[in-house]
Parts: sequence; C-alpha cells; structure tokens
Amino acid sequence: MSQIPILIIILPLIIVPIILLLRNNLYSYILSIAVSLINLVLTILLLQYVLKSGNLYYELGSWSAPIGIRLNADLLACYFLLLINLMSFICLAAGKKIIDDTVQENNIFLFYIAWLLCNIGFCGIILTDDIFNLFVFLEISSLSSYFLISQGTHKASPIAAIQYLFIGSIGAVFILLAIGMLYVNTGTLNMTDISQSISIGNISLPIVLSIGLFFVGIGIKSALFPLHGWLVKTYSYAPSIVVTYFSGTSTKVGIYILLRVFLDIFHTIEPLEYYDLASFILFLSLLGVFLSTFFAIRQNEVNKMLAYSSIAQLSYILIAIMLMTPEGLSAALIHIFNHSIIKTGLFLTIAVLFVNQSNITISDLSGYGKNFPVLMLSFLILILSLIGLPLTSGFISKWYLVSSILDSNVWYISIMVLVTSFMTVFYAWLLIEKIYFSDLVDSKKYSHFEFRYSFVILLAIASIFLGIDTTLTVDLSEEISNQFYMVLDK
Amino acid sequence: MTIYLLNMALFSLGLIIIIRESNLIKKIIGLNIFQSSVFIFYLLISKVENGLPPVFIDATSVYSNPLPHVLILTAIVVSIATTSLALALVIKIKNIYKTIEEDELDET
Repeated sequence: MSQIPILIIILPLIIVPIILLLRNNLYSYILSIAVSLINLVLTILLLQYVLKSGNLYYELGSWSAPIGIRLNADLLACYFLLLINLMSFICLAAGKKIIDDTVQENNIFLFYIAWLLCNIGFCGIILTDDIFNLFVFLEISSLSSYFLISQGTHKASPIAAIQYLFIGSIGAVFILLAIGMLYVNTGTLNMTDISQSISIGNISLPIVLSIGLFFVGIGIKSALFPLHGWLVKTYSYAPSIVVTYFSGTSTKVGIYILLRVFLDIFHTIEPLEYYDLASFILFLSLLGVFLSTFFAIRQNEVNKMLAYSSIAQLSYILIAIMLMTPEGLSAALIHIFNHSIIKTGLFLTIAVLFVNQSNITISDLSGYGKNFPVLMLSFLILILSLIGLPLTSGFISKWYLVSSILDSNVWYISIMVLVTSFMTVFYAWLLIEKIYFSDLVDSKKYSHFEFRYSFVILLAIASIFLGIDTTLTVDLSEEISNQFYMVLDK
Repeated sequence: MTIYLLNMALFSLGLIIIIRESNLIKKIIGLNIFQSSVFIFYLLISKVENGLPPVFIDATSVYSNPLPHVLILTAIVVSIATTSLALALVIKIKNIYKTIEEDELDET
C-alpha cells in the first residue's frame, strides 16, 4: 500500500523503454493502455487509502525528508491524480483508430512513448514534495507535449509546437529561477520544510522575487488570461486526440502548481493577500472571461471556439480560487473536475467524428443530429452542461461558484459571472443550430455505430451523474479546502 | 554584487532575443543564453566565501555548497533536450515551408 505513489510514476517509466525496444505499433498500444488502466486503479486505491488514513508519504531510497526526496500523496494530490489518469485512460481507449490515422506510421510507437512520458510528468508534478523535482517533472511533461503537438495532420502543427516550446521554456526557466531564489533564502528544497522556514516576519528580496517569478511561470503554464496565446494555437493545430487529452489535464496541472505554491509553500506569508496579487489575478481573470467568451462567439472553427471557451472556464476557476475563502477553493476544485469531463467529451466528439481532418468549421457539423443521433445527443448534453443547465454537472459548478462569490466581499462579480454564463448560450446555440436545424451537407456520411463513440456517451452520462450525485466532487472538494484553510488558520 | 547584475543583463538579453528575433535559429540561441544565465545564477549562489571545492580533506575546512551544482546538472540536461527538440522542429518547418523566418511563416 505504501508503495503506490512511486508505482504510479515508476510503472510507466519501466514500460517506456520496453516500447522503444519492441518498435511495434500494436504492442505499444496494448502496453500503454494496460499501464494507464493500472495507474487508474492504483490512483483509486490511493484515494481510498488517503481518505481513510490521511497523507501517505513515500521516502525515496528511505532517506528521510529534508535530505532525501519524498513523495507526498495528500487529498489534493489524489484528486488531481484521479482526474489526470482518468482522462489519459479514456483518451487512449477511444483514440486507437484516431492515432493510427493521424500520426505517421513509423512515429506511432514514439507517440505512445511521448504520451506516457507526458502522463508521468503530470503525475510526478502532483505527487512530489521536492520543489526541484517539480521543475524536472514539469520539463518532462512539457518536452513530450511539444512532440505530441507537432504530430498533427495540419501543416502548421510544427509551428504551433515550436511556439509553445519557446513560451513554455520561458515559463519553466522563470520557475527554475524562482526555485533558486527560494533555495537562497531557505537552504532547502523540501516543500514542507520551505513553508516552515519562511515566515511573515522575515520577508526578504529573494522571497519577493521568487513570488513574482512563480506567478509569471505558473501563469504561462495555466493560461492565465494575458498569457493564454499559446493555448488557442495549440488546440487548433495539434492532433485531435492530444487536444482532447490536454483540454482536461495540462492547464489543470498548471492550476495545481498554483495551489501548491501559493496556498501551501507560501501559506505562512499569504502572498496572494499580502501583495494584493489576489485582486490582480481576479481582475485579469474577469477580463479573460469576458474577452474569451466574446472571441468564442466570433470563431468559425470548432476547435478555436472550444479553446476560447476553455480559457473562459479556466478564468472562472481562477476567480473562485482568488476569493481566498474555503468555499471559493472548493468551488474551483468542483469546476476543475466537471469542466475536464465536459471539455474532454466535447473535444472527443470532434475527434471521433472527423478522424483525419483539421480546421473543422461549424458548418461541417450541419445535419449531424439526424445521422448520429446518440452521439449528438451526448454532445448536446455536454454543451448544455457547459452552459450550466440544471441536472448537469455544469450547473453544480456554477451554483457553487456563484454562491461562493456571493458569500465573499466582492459579491458584485457574481453579476459578471452570470452575464458571461449567459453569453455562453450564444456560441453553444451556434453549434446546436447547425447540428439539429440544418440540412446535411455530405449525405454520404454513414451513421454506423463504432466502439469509440461509446466513450463520448460515457462522458455525457458522467456529466449528468455528477450533476445529480455530487458525493465525489463536492464532498471531496470541501474536505480538501477545509484541510487547506485549517492549515492556514494555524 | 556586480556579477549578479551582469548575470541579470544576460538574463534580459536572452529574453529580448527570444521575443524580438524573427529567425527561429536565433530564437533558439536566445533561449540558450536565457537558460544559461539561470544556470550561472545557481553557480553564483553556491559560492561560499573562502570556500574550498567540495572535496573532503578534513572536517574543519569550509566548503562551497555542492548541491546547486548537482541541481543545475539536471537543468542542463533538460536544456539540451529542449534545444535538440527545437532544432528538430526547425528542420521539419524548413522542409514544409522552405523558410524559418517567423514573420514569413505567419503569412502562409
């Protein structure tokens, strides 16, 4: 039981060289999906264990904490691990044919290697208790994601990859420098140790610099509003299955780092309140919600529309976190989970329908409601969930978001949140109208049911299920945020 | 203190090259300068005044801190991987578009 945190990282790492040696596309698929399934099962076991008996620490090589490197599986980590591994498994299970058709024949086994490495990076970021390890895992996931993005069928996909490489590397170097500043001041790299050795009394220049550098670096990784440019380009040119995977994971991991750094490592000096960073981010996020919802309405390509919609939803999550209340944090966590399921479902629908195509415009979807009744019904449910209609998971997130804003001292923001939610209806309607009230452009499209469609349906059912039975998201999120703010009050 | 300022100049120089240059190879060079400045920062903070190289001679001597050196070794490996991946992408872009100037790429 105590070995689970390291197994989640080490098992895929053992599989990766095996795939490299086999150089066989089918075997590499079987191995990757098997290891993702094992990871998912291990994560669920870990979550159950942590819920029952508290944080699980794993000391690498049995070197104890401040000197050795430690993995720390707390409830927040398990929550994000569950999200990441679930999305990875769903995308791999649904994506066999999509990957075979989009990626070049001799690159397929490399594609799976990059996929697994990316997932290892995400899991490592989440589990580690050593801040330098966080940087290394961040780079592992970033480097493999640059490769994944460059494999798209669109001819601009290498450009999207290299531009993301530049901006991503700048972000990573900022984080590296921030870690250096922290090390200068505290002499340790263990997160728990760092948070104990900085206190409100002795804030020095390196700490202030470190906060600023972390803010920019994390802002790039989590597509905080003015730093979101890479996201739209990446989402429109990367392979569709990679977009599906990243929509639910990569920016969420950015938000995880934000929570870890600002609410855990720096919790004793409360940088978000002390320097008014919170109101600054709140302002940026509000601007982000407005502008990206506005841009989403004006887009003609489905992927770009969904990308802007993702930026808007990420801004909602940041708004909720920046309220600095336990209710806000739990609203953010609920929305992280629900939004991942919704967006993965939406992108997956596009990916399974237009396997070998890029630049899908809204009019390409014309009349699909008649030919793919079940699939499009699921798509409709997911869109309604994105708007936040009652009985869907989107409603639960919006409800908790608005009520947490009303409880805080910036209640007037809730009006803007409601207005932008209403604006979501506009671009959702553009999609619904084409799907259900337009004639079919290409009548040769057949409506034969395929196995990979079932994952979209599964996600749609999950979205309704999470809208009715909220034990998983709400209870867990409230538990996590209570733990966090209990530490803060001490 | 001067050396920290010089290092900061290197840091800004790298960042400016990445942002302003249009040629992708020059951008990669800029990224390398940018990353190197942070590596040098780590080396600077590990220096202890009158410290010997961290090789054990006797228990009373003062040693420089070896940990940042080890850390930065990892970061250098990461930086090499980033550079090689970026160069590979540049080759791919060159094959598709016959140019590596970013402003020309944006037009096509």
